[in-house]
Amino acid sequence: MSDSRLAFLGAAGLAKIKSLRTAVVGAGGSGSHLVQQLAHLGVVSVIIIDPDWLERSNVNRVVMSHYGLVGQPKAELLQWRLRRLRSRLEPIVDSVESPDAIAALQQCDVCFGAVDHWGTRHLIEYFCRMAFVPLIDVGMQITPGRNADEPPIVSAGGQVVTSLPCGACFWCMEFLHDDLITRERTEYADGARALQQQVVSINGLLASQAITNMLGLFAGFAGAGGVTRYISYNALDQTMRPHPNLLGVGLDTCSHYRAEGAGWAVR
Amino acid sequence: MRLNVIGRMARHMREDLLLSPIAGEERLGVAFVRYASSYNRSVVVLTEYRALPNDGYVELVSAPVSFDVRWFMAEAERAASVNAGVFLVHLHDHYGMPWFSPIDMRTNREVLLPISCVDHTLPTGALILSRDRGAAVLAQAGRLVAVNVAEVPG
Repeated sequence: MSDSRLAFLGAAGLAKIKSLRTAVVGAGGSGSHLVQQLAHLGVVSVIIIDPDWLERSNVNRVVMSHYGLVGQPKAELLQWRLRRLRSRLEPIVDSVESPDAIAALQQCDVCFGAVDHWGTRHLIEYFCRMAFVPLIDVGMQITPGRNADEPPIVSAGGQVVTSLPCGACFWCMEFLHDDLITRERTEYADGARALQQQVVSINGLLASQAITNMLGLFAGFAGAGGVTRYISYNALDQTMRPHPNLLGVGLDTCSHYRAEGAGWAVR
Repeated sequence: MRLNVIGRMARHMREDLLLSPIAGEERLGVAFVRYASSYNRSVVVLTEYRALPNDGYVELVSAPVSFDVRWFMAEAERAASVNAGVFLVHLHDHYGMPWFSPIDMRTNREVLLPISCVDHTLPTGALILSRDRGAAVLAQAGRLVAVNVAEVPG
């Protein structure tokens, strides 16, 4: 595989990217794009964590899947489909809370979160912060109109949020807040959790931005201000811009996860 | 094995360790280090750094090591109270991958291995920095194991 088209990263940047050990949590709509791009970049290791099997309803957004693969674990099918590229792909068909997944994730240079649930996002960030692993989260939301008075699509878009050790976390940036997690728990308890709407094009766009953020963090492929920590995408007006929550947030400090509290502090 | 150090912490340690050494000795510090999680004994994280106070250095001709071991023991005890182990830290002033000198390795064996036996559940070791890289050893089952040092964005 020729790397001539990656010369803009410089020899040191390219070597750094290729040496990265990465983890992708969630092998669905966004996660499959992330895994595909990491493998094409030739990073040395991609750990794919997802407990679910491919369903027919997933095929419209899990890239590289097809109906013949329905019933296969998503993490394993991505490994199989990309096996001829140079990266070592390691599927973990288990929850991110499993000991194997936590141990694998914490040995990485960077982790990508591509999950639907706010509570899971919180857990992934916690595991990453304990081990000083940078985390890049990708998520999308489409809100359809609920009645004839509302437009067919009320909002559509998503975000890419980068959480660096000891810098502003999901909570500092108010990407996560208690109401979200409480509401999600209540919806699950009541069986009222609505199916998340997804579309392959927006998943791909956000995953591409997340990979570009990784290039910014590890190969210096970013402007003078560095990587924008919270990027929001509005699909209805086709704009991607820094999220307004970044205003007034101290990006270099975090009151939720301090360096002194990292690691296994409780016996 | 891997030791994760936040970039800004690594810069802070280098700035401190490059200060004029006391009595011609290499400047020393101690880092608090924890295992990443109860599931994970192959990743350790550096959570705090403290410089050796000026009166903690001793004349090398009259002592086996260049620092007051009582200071190091006190720091190890303080670290243990918050479930952290300790790494002895110093810097060799050059670029590229650093490594411990024969004297450093003797200190590592004579000081770190006994301390590691006090509580083997806590990581004990030594970190050597250059101006742009780092290397480390961890005491494990009575011997020193090489550890990769990763400076992470942040």
